[in-house]
Amino acid sequence: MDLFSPLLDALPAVLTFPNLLAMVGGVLVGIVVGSLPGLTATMSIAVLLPLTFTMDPLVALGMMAGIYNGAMYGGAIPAILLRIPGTPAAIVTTFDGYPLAQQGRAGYALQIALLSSAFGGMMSAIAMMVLAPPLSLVTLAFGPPEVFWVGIFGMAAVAVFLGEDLPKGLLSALIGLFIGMIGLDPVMSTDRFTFGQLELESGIDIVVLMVGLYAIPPCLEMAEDTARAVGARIRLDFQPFLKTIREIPRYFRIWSWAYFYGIFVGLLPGASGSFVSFLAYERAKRMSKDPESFGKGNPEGIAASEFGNNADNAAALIPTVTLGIPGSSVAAVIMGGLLVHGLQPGPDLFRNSADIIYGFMIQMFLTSLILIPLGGSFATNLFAQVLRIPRPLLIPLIICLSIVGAYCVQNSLFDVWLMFGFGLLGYVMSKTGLPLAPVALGVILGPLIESNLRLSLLLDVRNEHILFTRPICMVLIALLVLTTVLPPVWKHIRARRARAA
Amino acid sequence: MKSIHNDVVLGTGVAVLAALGIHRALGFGADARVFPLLVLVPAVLLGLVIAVRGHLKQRRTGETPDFFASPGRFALVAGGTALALIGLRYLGFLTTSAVTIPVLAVALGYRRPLPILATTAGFLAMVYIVFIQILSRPLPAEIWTRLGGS
Repeated sequence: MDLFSPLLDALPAVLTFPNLLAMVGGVLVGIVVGSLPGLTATMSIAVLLPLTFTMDPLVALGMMAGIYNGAMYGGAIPAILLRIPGTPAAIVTTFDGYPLAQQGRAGYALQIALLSSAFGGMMSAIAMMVLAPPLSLVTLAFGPPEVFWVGIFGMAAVAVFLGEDLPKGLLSALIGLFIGMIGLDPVMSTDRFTFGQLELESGIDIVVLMVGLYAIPPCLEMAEDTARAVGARIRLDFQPFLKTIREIPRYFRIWSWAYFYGIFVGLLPGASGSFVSFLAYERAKRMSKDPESFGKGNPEGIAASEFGNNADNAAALIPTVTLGIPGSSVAAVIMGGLLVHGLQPGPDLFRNSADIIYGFMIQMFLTSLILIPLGGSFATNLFAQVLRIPRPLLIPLIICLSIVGAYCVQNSLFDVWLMFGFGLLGYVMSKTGLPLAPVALGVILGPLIESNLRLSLLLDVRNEHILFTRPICMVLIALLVLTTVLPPVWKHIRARRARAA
Repeated sequence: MKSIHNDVVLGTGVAVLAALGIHRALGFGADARVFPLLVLVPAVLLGLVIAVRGHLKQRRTGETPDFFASPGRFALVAGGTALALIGLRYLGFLTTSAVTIPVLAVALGYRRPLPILATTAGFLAMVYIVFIQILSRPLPAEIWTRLGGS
């Protein structure tokens, strides 16, 4: 009863007209922003934050919640249609979304992405409502050694992706880790691999990297493919939305794991939705009866990725609102929004401004729900028309969109050239069979792994080997061993049995 | 002329670049060099493994997969993009896009003026409304604004 009464108290304020308008407007802006490479939820909330100064705090938070949830789904639209992840979290959505679009099922892929995003966001909001105070205590137990092992666990999960060619997969991961270490090192600020370029000192922006890596190679490959280059069009194949909704039970198991990862990672400061997508995708692939179909247009891959990256939306806000520790960059901006409106994150927030903070939790739920009609009717149908554009015209459009996306990150022409360089790197990798996904994960997790490794070593003043002896570390190491050793052993046993049969 | 397997070029290239990286990393401070070495040393080894494996595969099968499916079209798009990036500094984003989209589309074999013009105009309008008007992102200055200002 303690849980529901503050929620019920906050509900009337949430359902006022200005609030509903702010949420709908926020979701629309979020979808548009998320679908444009280079524009992220973080950036758009930050840009629009000054507009909320004069607003009622709850109306402002409703708009932010809408942008956040809208953008996390919007990122899937270009990921599916053009293989350009609109947001870092949508990288994994490209794996099966783009092949599905190439098979003429773009409409279906978008519907799965939409439903997975919406349900992921709603479940995440419920977790925030129910688990925020007790779960936030768990994060206090995660120090640098534990976060280091979480990062290593993430990289090990990539090893499962590698599948066919282990050396090439590992090499891709190392390329990602190398790109991630360019710039000033995270502890001593030593200049590493910048070759005197000031622009590189702050490191490689993940948006610049992924726009280059994922947007330019398909353009070059599409242009090379002369048979498809002129006049080829792709079918969208929208099936009735209700039919897709009826398929939801098929994805329950995948969504459950994605949900678990989303909540767990969302609680860890520094980790992000993109990491959740990788974990959820890897799990879905391992659970599948047909793992070989992943990466070739399996809708379960989209469901895992999109549910995962939305499941941490509200979860990432749990440490923000309860402890004042943002779990992600978006959470940091939203925390700024709370502070602007005189709301100090921490336990007092739940006592002194219960109507606002519980209202915000309801808004996180409602904006995910609103996503279904708005995303289904407006964005999906509108943006899916992109695939009707003839390829010779689509190629320069993607290139120009990539240019503006990379430029907008830091208003830097250097970043645009960097993006083009990564595009050529992605082309070479694609042609030589090096997977792109481990590069992206290496860049995301590299700085997290390194800084926590070095902090752990600095903390280990009494030489107690804290990286290996702390209880949570031991659990994570055990999980790591199980994840990396068991699948190949199990595969070997199955192969022997098959031969014997 | 005997061709070289793609993996031999890839592996050798990675091994050489990673070795150069190690040489550079050895010049960093004691703490700052640890992680780069943990990454680059295995990269050298993996590069060599991939190169040797590619060489053995080529000897066994005699296959040398083509790298480019169509070198001319690759050069067209890569060169066109590079020119657009150069133009960006001098012409501005909207002008560069207004030139790049139709020129590349025609060069790639699409010859229907109306869809090209309509798509280009639609793209420029979208960028102008979303990036410039709504989000106030400062894109590279257009040449006409600089000419008008001087």
